[in-house]
Amino acid sequence: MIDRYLAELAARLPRRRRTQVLAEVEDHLRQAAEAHGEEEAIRRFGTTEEVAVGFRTPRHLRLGQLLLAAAVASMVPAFYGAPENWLPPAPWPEGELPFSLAWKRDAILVLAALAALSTLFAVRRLALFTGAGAAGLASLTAGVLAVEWSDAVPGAPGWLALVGLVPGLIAAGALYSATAPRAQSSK
Amino acid sequence: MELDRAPLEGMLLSVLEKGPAHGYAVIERLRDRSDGDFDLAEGTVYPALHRLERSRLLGSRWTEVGGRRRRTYSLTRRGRTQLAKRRAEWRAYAGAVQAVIG
Repeated sequence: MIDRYLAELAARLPRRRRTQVLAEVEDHLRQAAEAHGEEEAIRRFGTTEEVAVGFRTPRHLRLGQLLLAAAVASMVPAFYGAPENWLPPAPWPEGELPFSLAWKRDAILVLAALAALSTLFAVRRLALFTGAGAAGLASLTAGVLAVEWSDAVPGAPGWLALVGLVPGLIAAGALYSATAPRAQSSK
Repeated sequence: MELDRAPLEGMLLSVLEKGPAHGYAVIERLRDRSDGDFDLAEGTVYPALHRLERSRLLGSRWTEVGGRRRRTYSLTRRGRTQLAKRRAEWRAYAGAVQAVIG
């Protein structure tokens, strides 16, 4: 009976935590079963759904994480995937992305990736710091980058300035995820 | 009796103040101290213990007992500080509610 319960619970638990949680739950159930019998031990423990829900990332947080991951993923091909002379309106006057823009591009990506990773792995404090850092630095850098980009390339379209919004959105997502209440109640 | 997250976490910190314990013992202490009033689904205590550990208010270590792996939780220094803070907050809150409700 306990084995069946554990198998059902395993199917509902997030993979990352499964092994340790199952070992802990099994220890609890076996000990409780010695005192009250298997059926009563399981009844007192609660349904597998009731237990598993406490270990899941809340839906709003998961959505935030997915959006963050998608935003970061979309930045990589946008900044690195395209040939340097391809970005509109190519070609760059110097023939390649100016150094003054390149290091800022790298800084944005590092900060955005840190914010997203810390949020994905639910490191609340790190997400808060990197999120705040990304909000301040990356948005500023990206804004400057976008302006310089436009200046460096005559005739660059105005929408390039929107690039500056992306890390800001990522930072806002990280901050929201880091500070959002994780509403759960236990019966 | 239903328990919200914050009081449950405060109570878990409190029962671990007495000394390290594994999940089953934590629940027993909780039940004993409340004279059985908090008859919660025992499985819901574990996510709370894990949250407290992630917040570094609790530490844990694994041992082997009777061929089974067992995780024992203990209060960290940060957990003790947090417990004192939550106690003070709870007393202030309970006192205010008591004053109003009578």
